[in-house]
Amino acid sequence: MNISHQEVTVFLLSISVLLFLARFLGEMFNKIKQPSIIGEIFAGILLGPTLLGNIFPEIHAYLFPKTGAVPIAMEGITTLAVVMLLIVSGLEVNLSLIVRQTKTAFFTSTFGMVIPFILGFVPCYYFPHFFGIAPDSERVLLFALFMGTALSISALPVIARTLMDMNLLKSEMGMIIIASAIVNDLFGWVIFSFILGMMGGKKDGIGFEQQLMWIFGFLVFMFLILRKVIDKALPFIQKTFSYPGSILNFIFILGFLAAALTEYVGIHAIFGAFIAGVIIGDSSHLREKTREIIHQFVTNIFAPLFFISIGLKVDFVANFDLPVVLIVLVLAFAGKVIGAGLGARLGGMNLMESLAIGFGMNSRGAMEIILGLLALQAGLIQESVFVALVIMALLTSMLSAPAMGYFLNLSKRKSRLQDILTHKNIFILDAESSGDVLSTLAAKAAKDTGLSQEFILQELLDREKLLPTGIANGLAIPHAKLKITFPVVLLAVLKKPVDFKASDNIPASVVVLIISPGDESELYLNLLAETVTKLGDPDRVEAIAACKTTEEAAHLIKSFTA
Amino acid sequence: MEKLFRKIGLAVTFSPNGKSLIRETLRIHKIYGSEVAFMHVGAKNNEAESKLRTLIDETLYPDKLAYSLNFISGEPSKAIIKKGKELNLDLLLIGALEKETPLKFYLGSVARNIMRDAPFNVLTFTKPIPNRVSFHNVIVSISYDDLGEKAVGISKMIMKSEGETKLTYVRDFSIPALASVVIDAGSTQVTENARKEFYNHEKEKMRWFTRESGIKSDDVEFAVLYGKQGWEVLNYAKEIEADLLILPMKSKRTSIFDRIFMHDVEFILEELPSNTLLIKK
Repeated sequence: MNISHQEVTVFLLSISVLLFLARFLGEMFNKIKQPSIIGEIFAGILLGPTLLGNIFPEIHAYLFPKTGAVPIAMEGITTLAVVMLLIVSGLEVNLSLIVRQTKTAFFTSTFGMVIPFILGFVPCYYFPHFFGIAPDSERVLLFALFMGTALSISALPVIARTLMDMNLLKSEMGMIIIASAIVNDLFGWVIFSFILGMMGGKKDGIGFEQQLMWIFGFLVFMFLILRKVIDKALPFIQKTFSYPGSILNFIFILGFLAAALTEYVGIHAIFGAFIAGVIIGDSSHLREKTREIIHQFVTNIFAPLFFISIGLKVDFVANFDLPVVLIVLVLAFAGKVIGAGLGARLGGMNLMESLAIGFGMNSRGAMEIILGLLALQAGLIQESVFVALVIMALLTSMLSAPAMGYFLNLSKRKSRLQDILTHKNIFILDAESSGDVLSTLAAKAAKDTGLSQEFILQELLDREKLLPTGIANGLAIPHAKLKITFPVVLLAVLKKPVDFKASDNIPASVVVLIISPGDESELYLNLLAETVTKLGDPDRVEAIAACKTTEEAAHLIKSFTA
Repeated sequence: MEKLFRKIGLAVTFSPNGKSLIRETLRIHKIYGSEVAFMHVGAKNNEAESKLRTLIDETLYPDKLAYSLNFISGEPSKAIIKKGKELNLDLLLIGALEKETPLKFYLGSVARNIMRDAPFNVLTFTKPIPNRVSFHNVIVSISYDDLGEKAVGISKMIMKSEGETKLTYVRDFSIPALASVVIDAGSTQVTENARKEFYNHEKEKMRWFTRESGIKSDDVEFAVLYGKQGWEVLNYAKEIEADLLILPMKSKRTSIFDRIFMHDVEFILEELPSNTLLIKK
């Protein structure tokens, strides 16, 4: 089949329009701290049958013809995009993090997967007609399995971005959420590929045992043999051939080959792509820069085309079924928040932290949409269910950050300086000596901790004897680890600087007192380090020291620590 | 000098490195005044004991040392660990190859098994030398826990006792999924800035951590490495040609999965970059 000049023109024109609008709306959503994928999907809805097709059907038909070579070419591009997205997704699966995950991460990932799976599976298995599937249909089991999987998956990139925006990516909580999301993704995609394989197998006459054998054989080969080969090959390629071109080619060649292989044997292509990404990403030799280049390449060109294509395929208005949307939303929120939250609680986090983790894990984002579209294409779900899944993916992603912030605020055990060092903990002091400052701050800390002022003061003075806590540039950080359950940070702006024996001999004009639970070494260090990196700059110390009121100081400190 | 290692042990063999290891033991005994216990895996009889004592005494000559000699039997790594526990060792010295054959590594060699399972500190020599004066280039891998604190404390005493020693504290860390943030940020600058901020934060943490043990920043160096934990320290130690790596290591039951999907200290056990002191208690 030849493609005409006219079709080439339309194809290129439609790609340009799609990319332009996807980028434009993606950037707009980014500006309001929302994932760009939301803008990309909206772009699809605007250009698709939902809006453009209804208002200007001629333009829609011209740009996105339903017959001829153009739709085939577009289908090719979206297939390529989804395979690439899965390679990229796999790259971020950190196998060593899974092997050495902490007790909390283990419980969070396990419950964050099992409970949503059960909540997805049970209603869909017993009430399939509600989702447009006949109860006597042979698809019921596969559909219920799919819904269980769809509700148990998380979207790592959206979660990572949310955590970074909230200054939590490097925190204990951030690590728990990321490790759990990685586990959920890994198992989610494996189970989903298996479901698609079972569907394909039925069509192609491949038995269940044979499917299982292929999957097992493929995993053993990829993880035990090819992973080691790649680990040896990457440094050789990086050294011998041009960088980053050669390594990008290598990764995509391998990803496409694995995808082709799994597609050929009846397991879906995404499975091969994802596992190829996992084993490449596991190599210690894969540079961080390479990962970023791949992410940029895929997510700036191919991902928008994929996400915008969703709106082109489905009429969101015609297929909007409120009861289905509501039930999917309830099951999704309940499953993840209860499941991951319960896991975190069993793993030792407090109630508010557990709820924050539950909402953190609740982001479904791009992964859910890819999963949904593949299921739609495979005939596993109806369009109304797909629309519900897209809405759920968008809402869970949008609500994740505000909900996490809300519950973290309610938690007594705060770990970020910005949450601990609030207005009520900032003072303007008139003191004559470091002893005066410590005594006054110890009295204020005594109120928060329930310990006596004398005891706190003695601990602070003992610590001063080991090494003075005057840092530099007029900042002093007296500190102590005590038997308390949550940290206390107080900041004093001194009207007259006093000597804290800093190495640069500059007397302290800003004193930050840190008292931390004795059994939480890392929290203690985090607070000390965060104080120095965020407040220790000479200009910042000077600016804080110049504040005349606590309100003024609190406002300034908030801007520095956020 | 304070007795950093009150009681030390050495598994003696007739291997080429055996004599150098005996001399290394003597050196540690001289610095820390440690009590010394030699162990040998094999049947005890007069001939074997006499042969071993001759080997030890001749190797120590012209120095003399009061030591105990313990014959043990059974699977070597288990027997050595069991005896070490009975003797209440603070430190066990062993010789080890830099790299084992893959099969031996996965199944576990005597040295690797001891390193993994011993509940006491283990000093592994890949390059024992008979007349060592001091360790010149020591690096300490930092972990923010009790063992990490002990490692810093021990490094401080080693620096005092070894004389001209360059001491570097190293912290390797990574943020999983950081690269994927570019998906939504749309700019590598955002992740680059975040990485720099994390890097500075980690360096500051390390300074505080050592400072709390009384280490003055001017006397030592600090290195923060971004990448897989364990793997980065391994490569850094090789790159700067360290002659001693001090590594906090929890005694935790590991499985073959930990070796297949390598992480943390397993990278170092796969390829010892230098003599390695594992801090376990």
